[in-house]
Amino acid sequence: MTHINVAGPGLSDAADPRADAIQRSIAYAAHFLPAQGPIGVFVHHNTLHAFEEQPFDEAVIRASRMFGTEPFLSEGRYRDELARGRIRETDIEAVLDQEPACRNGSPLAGGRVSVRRLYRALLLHPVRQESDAAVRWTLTESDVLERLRTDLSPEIHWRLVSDDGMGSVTEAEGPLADSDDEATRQATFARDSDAAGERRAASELWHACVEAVALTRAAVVHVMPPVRHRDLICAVDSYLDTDVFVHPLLIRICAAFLDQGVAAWAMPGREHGLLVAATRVYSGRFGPTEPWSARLPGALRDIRGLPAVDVIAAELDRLGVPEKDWQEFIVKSLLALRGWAGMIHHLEERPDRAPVEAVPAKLIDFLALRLVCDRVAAEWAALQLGFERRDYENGDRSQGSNRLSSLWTELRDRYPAQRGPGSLARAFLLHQVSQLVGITARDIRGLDENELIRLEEAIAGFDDIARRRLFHLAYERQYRIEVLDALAAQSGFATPPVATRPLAQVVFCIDERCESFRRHFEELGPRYETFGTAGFFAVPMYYRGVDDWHASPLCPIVMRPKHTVVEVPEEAAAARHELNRTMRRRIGQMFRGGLFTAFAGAVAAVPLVARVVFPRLTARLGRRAAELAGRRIPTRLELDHEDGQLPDADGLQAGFSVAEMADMVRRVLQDIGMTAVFSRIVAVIGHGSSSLNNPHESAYDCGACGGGRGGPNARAFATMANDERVRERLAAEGLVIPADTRFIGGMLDTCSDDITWFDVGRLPESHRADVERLQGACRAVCAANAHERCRRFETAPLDVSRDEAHAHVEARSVDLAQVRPELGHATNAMCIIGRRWRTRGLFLDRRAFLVSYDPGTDDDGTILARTLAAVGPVGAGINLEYFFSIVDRLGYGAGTKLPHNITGLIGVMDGHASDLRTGLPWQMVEIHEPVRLLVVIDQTPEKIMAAAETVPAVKRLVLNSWIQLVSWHPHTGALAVFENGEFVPYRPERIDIPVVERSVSWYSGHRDHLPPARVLAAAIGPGKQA
Amino acid sequence: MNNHDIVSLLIICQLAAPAATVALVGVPALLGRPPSERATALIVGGGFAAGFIAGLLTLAVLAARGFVPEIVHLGSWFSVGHHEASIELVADALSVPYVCFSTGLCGLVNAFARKYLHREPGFTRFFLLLAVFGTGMNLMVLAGSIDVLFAGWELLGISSTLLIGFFLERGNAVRAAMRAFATYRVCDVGLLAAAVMVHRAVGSGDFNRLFGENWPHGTCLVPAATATIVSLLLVFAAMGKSAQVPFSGWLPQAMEGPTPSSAIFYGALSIHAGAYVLLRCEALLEQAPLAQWVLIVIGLGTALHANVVGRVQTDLKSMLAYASMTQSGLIFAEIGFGWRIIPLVHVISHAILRSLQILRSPSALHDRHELEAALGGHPGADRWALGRWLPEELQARLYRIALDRGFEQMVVGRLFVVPFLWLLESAAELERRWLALLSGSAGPGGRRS
Repeated sequence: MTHINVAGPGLSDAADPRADAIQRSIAYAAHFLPAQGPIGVFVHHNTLHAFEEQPFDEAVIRASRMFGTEPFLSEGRYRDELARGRIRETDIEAVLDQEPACRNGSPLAGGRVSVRRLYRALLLHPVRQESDAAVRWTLTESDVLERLRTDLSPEIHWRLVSDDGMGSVTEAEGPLADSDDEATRQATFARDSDAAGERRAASELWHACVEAVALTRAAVVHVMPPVRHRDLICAVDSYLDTDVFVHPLLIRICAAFLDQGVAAWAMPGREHGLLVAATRVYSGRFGPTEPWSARLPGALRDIRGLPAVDVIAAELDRLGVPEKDWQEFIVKSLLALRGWAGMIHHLEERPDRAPVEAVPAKLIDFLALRLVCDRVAAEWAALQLGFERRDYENGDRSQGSNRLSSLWTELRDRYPAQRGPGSLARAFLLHQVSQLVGITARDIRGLDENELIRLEEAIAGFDDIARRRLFHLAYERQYRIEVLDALAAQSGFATPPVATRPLAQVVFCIDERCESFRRHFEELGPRYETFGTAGFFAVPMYYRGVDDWHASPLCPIVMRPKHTVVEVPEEAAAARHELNRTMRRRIGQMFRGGLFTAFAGAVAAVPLVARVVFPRLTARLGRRAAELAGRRIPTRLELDHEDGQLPDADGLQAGFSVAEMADMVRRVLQDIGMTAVFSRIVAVIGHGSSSLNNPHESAYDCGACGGGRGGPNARAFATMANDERVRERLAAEGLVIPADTRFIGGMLDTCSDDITWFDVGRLPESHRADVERLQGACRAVCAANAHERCRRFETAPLDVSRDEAHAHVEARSVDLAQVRPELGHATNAMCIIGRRWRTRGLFLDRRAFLVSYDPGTDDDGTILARTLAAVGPVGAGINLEYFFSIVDRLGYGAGTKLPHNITGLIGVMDGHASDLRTGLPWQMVEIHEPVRLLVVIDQTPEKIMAAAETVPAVKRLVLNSWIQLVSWHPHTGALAVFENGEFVPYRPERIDIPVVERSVSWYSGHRDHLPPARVLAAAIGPGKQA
Repeated sequence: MNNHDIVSLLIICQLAAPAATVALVGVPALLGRPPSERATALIVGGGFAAGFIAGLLTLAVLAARGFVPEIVHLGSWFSVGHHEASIELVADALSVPYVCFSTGLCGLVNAFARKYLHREPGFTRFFLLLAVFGTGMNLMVLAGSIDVLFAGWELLGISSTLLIGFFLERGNAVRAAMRAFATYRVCDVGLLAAAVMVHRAVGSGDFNRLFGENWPHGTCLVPAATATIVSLLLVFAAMGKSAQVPFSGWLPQAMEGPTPSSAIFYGALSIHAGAYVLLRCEALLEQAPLAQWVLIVIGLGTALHANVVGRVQTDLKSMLAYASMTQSGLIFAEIGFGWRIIPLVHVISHAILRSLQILRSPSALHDRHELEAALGGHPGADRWALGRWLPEELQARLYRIALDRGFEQMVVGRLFVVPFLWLLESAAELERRWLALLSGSAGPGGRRS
């Protein structure tokens, strides 16, 4: 991924060790740049892919330091979840039980408090960690010294109050035994008003804490000074943020260089690369500059014609960065504008992904340009800081380099090593924690210096990040328990289907949005079966639709298709199609005229009003008009590979051979375990999502199609599976598809809940009734599905009817003003790989990727291995992208959609000049619960491990805990959770599960996430007639 | 209640309806209990709807009467001898259609934003500012005197600034808002000075004392010299709001707010406020050929500048901002030529089309696919032939001018900002010394920072 092409112009010979070091640093830094490509094709991937080699919780913390982001949700958010029961105390107890520090740490405070108790107290009760000044304010303005905390248990409260504070006199065990006379004490306690005792205890404890803190010294946290001049200068004078000067210019240049056709006038000379083009445009003597960039044209003239790596080396020297800091300096310099740098890097690696034309993007060019600008800006800032005068005294005014290197060293020396908290803050913290764990003033006075230090260190060590980590584990655990208990309960109910022929079988994508659709389909009756497989249906291809100008890939991003498939109009409609095209071209050219804007613009009032006020009606009218105008013409796919036809220039073969088709069909049927029972009609349904005014539209499409729409794949698959030649070949291999079984392709629009069917007219007359019944069933299911989805939309009333719900989602998909056309993969949380009958009838709330897999037909584990290879990285990629986009919506996510501004057709900026925003926008993730994907596999632990071993990408995710893995034994139904390198048997917490008649009775009236329930209508089992 | 009263009521309603919504939403919000999203959008939308209907009815009455202007005297601010500053609204062939158009557009944006801003933390603030904007717009349009016009003008300015800086947490947005605000303030001096001039010349701010009231057939009632000075001041004022060169740099930067506010401010209404004021005072301009020439030069200059700069913009909103600027330059030139109906039609046409374009700018990728399908290929990146014909050296030079947005930022910085700051600092320094002298303390006062 991070290989840098060392050959070619723009680079000096690789023998130079300095050049080598620079190349290596750039390659290293490139790891950490966002991997997102042009936004037209949105591919989900793990935001922290570069950290996958490290265990999850270490990685997120390390990444948060590197990017300045949040590793987990905020502590306040977790506390809210704790308060509303989303995190239970039992989850926290269980997480603490697993924590090494709690198990092995020796007790603190003279054996009075275990580490576990301390952690538990700090998790369950918020403590305020504040600066000295804030503490001073708190002490004077509130009654913390008068009152004990209100959230203490009665025992602890009493223990604290009954401590007389003169602890140095006696040393004893319990709070009661040290009293000389129990009766006197009780009497005193009763006589004193409660408040007086409490006041005495609180203030005595405070004094003890202040004394304790005075005995020891706070641990000083040393912080390495930053390496970039900008950060150093900013630390001295925050108004001199050189990035604020440099970035608008860099953004302008990068955007112009990468532009894919927004600007009418492309950047001159961009075919020579970023550095050359920018130098050519900006090195001219002509034209005024901003104050900081007065010397930029000169600096650019100096580097004209130099290879980028030499420019970088020279700039690093001028900036005065010692060679040992180069790597960090380069990483930080590239990360400062990481969206643009990442895009340049991406287009360098994958020029084929440029939507219109590949530009010779090179990360090294970007770095060279950036360093020149940075240096010029730093020189200017150095002048402002008064570094000029001293250089005059040194007599080397001409040497800007000396100025900058002296600036660098001096500011680094001056950089404040971060101090620990002040004594007041420490005492205050100790005061609160002591109350929580029941340490009295006397206890504290009894501790020696070492014990005090240990206690303070333990408290300081359990900082907010450590707390949020444990909170997060508890948060994940609660969901895991909920799901695993449901699965365990389900094991008792589920029975394999009776071997009657189903009325209809439907194959869906594994997408979690299809879960509800499948459930509603199954609620039609036990003779309706569903399957799930990666939504490209094992047909990797470049596809060109009848109206498309060029072919685009439809398969997971890790694959590169070798075949092209074209959609062509039917012979009978070819003339009509030509006419349509000519008309559209004419109209298209007409509307591009500039004069049109000036005076005929008022005509635009019609679409403006119509689209804003009546979006659904407008879209319907538009569709009707297109139909009337004969715009929809019958088409077919050109799937067949003509023998003897040679591959094209890119090595792509047009169409598939019969053998290839048979392979693909067999593979899918085997994967999903559909090898024996076939209904008369089998539907294969891909999915996509249509919405307006949505730069992220592709992110809602099918992940298994690499951010494309899976309809063509489904259509191709059905066509192949119906092909007699393919069937003959399959039959010869022992996979017999009954002669009266017909496949039909379709595409589900996950936004508007509509299914488009393909090639219905091609089915034989004998199957007409079957198809019509299936289509009718699907229409009803679409409405039911829309109804279930509407509970998540605040703008849809909770008591909406099915038809209203369907109309509502349809309106969403055509509304210009709608920033949440649908909720995408938000809520995805788990993945079940196994036989559908084991989970059938389980309400999983659209949170589960459902992959059909039959362990019975997979003795050697090869099917599981290839299923994992296809599903693991895609599922984890989606899951983790949502995870990080919600955990830090600005740092990892793309922020709110409202100010997004499409740039160069490759990405979005906030407003007119910002870094490219990568990740997912807030409106897509706001209801998402960030939990790692819980992958449950219907297979034994041994076979799962054996299969995972063979797929490095999956193995890495499993071993480093980027996904949670669970084995669901195919015979015994026993569950085992993968923890610390081994499968640990899971014992359910509860064995009952809510039972409802239909899905709607479980979800209606609720907007938030729902626990699993058993839906009788969808289940096959006792009391159900097959 | 006679006919006149009913029309007056309708005119007042056009202004009062949006103003009332400011109070209805603003007061509870100030008390910490903002109305729900639904209620907010309904209140503000209802205000616009009421204003719109009142506008249409007024238009019908006016049309029936052959567009004889209707003046509503709301009261007097102050009067000194013969001098009076009265608060007057005027409904005529210019203002009433314009109110219908602007209120209608506000209502539309209201309907759009209701969904677009759903669950956004600044939801109430957005609608409040939209209501302030609508009120200011109607006040400015219906103004029968230059004082009232100034008040409306200022409401536009402040609501516009606050919406550019809508995302308070982002530095760029706040900087852009400050930039627009500074430009507005500088150019507002023109309008203020013009108001003073008018009062001096005719002893009142009423437009009907300046020129006949029958738009578009007004005639100038003041001497040519006064007309010229007032016109030039008005042109200066209009240049800021309508983003004419050299005060144009704020416009592309102003695209920091939510998309619907960008549409209404910088595509449709705010950008044409300058043109409206000039149209209103067209009779004065006719007496001031110098001002007309200045208008033509500035307008055409802006159009040329924006056209060239717009060609290299790579993001949708900047591109649309420069497209707006081009058209608004042309409209200025049209006004300079002394036309009245053509610029009005141009303003309305352009505003409607541009708001639609800005509102659907996030659909660029979608539209692009449609266009590609329609054209059967890429529309081509190098669509501008001139760029390729020039010799290489000139190409680079012109490209840099365009990419640096005509050096507008640098020029304004050097010509205006630096001298202005110098002036302020010198004044402060002078005052310090003066004080030091007066108070008798020794040594130089203060240190220059």
